[in-house]
Amino acid sequence: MTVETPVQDILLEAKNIRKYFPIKKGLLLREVGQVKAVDDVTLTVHRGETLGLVGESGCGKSTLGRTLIRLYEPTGGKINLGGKDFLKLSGNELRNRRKNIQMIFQDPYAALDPRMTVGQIIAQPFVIHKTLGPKETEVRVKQLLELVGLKASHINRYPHEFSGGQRQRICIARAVALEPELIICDEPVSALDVSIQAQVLNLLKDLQERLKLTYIFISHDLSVIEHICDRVAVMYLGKIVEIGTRDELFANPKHPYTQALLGAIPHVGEGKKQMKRSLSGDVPSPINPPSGCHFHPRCPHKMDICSKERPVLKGDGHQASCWLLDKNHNTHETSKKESL
Amino acid sequence: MSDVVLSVRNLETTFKSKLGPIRAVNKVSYDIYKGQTLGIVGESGCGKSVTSFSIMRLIEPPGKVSGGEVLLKGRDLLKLSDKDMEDVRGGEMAIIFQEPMTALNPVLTIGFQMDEQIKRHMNLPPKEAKDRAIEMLSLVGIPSPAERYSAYPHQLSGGMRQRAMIAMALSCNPGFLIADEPTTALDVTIQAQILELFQNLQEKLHMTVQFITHDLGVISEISDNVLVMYGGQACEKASTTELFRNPRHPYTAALIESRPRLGHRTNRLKTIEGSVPAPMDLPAGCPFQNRCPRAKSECLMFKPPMTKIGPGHEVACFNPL
Repeated sequence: MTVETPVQDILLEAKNIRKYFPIKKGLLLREVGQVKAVDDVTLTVHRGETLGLVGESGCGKSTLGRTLIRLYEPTGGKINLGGKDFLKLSGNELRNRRKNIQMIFQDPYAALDPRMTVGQIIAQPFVIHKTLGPKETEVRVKQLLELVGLKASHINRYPHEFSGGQRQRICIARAVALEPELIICDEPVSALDVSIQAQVLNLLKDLQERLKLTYIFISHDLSVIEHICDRVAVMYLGKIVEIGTRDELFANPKHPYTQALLGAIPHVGEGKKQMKRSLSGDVPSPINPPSGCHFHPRCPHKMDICSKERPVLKGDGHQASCWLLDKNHNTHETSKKESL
Repeated sequence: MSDVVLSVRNLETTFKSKLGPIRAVNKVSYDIYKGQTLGIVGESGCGKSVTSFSIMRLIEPPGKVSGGEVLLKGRDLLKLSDKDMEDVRGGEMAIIFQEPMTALNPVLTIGFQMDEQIKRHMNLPPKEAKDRAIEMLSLVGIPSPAERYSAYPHQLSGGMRQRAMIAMALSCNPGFLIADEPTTALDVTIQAQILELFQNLQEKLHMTVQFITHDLGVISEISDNVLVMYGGQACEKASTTELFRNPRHPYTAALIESRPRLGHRTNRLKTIEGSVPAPMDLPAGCPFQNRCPRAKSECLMFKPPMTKIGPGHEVACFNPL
């Protein structure tokens, strides 16, 4: 039995989000085409959950993350944030709303201004939003430093004096400074060493519990995604091809691409073995994506219809966009079962 | 046991700096047997890449290989003249780097760069060198190799570029290959393709491989034996199955446990406190002492030597698990 999620639990609702980047060429920079970085994505984020966006480079996961908080203006679609139309806001209203959404970036070396002290960096949100006076700001910054596992005495140091993991902690302190509801984490541990990744992942989990945060967690690493997310969306060439709860998606991946991604991860501790047949080919260019289902040139279960018509997300709760799941078209039912 | 192809003995590489000499590789020893793969795993700054560069004699000032021996089929590479070393490099022994875009020359075609090496080492006339290059490109699974031969590196995708690098490295039949994080810059599905290719080629060409990576998953699927490095030193050496089943060094065990693993769910990950020390402020004694939960007083003063602890299993720890 499925329980209907109450409406007030939805924090962010995105409908048919599109983000196209123009390709300009020639002396007059005429527009000659578009990169459909995010193409018709619909998703909801519930309060207090972690939604994972996973996919290979160029699949549009970072662009989607940035578009959802209007770091990029979407080309089309609707975003409803906390019950209000987020795309209609401007000026002061938008600024106020933005207090509630923050971002953590991949590279903690590039995300911190090298000429500002850690204290100034973490105080920036208070300065910009004029929420606290100077005295209170300092107290708060020290609390934040301790919250993320650094020392209050580090307040006057510069970013270069910290290691990668510590810098990511500084970025996290800055992101939670205004007690946001939603944080977009864009590959927050990918640039860190293995032994440091675990520290940062644990910190993100602790903070989520203590501050009741909602995360959109972007990563290419499925084992990290499995560890931290409640629900997962798999993206391929600008589209969500499968979305579902972590347990469902990892136990029973429906889309051939998700299956291939899971199959491609090297497993620790199983000893040397012959590789299974991996997915052939590269991710195609989003400038000129394949017809029909974008995945069909690499798909092991390709059917006639796949190159002609685009499948849509189907199913309730756990959704996937694949013709194999459509009974009228599925002539490969048996072969798919064998391969699973 | 099969023959030893590469034997590294007490290798030491030092970099000069204002703060005094920095020892990036500190008395590392290991053997690689014919047809086998040794995986070297460690975090950034542990000395795994400097070790490979030292073997290839590619360390440039202010760095210097300051001690030890590198025996390739019994010949000490560190004693060879520069001219003789050039014959070895790319001929008997080749290296594949992490980032194919920076390792390839962007203004020369793939074919030109391959020919150069084939002509140098195999003394083939231009026509045959070209045929050899195209043959190698098709061996590594590049579609329409004759066309790709005249392509520039930027015209290939990341995965294809790495295949071209592999073709280039293998073009003169090296018996020994060093792969320095060859799949780190690639997407997972492409990584799986390259690893598969690697295994097939190794079987076909009977190559001996030193495979460097920070990814425990990759190491566990590709190598026969594993060497774990930390702070410029070897800390554990064992067969792959033994190492993952029965890690004895506290660092190895913590590294394996700190990684989220598919299908093994935990609420919290085990962590290693602190961070990897910079090479210039390595503590005296065991380099891992300040992060180690099992450190004893002798760990602070003495460097633990590599000690045999089981069949084919060595560990550098006074208080192993």
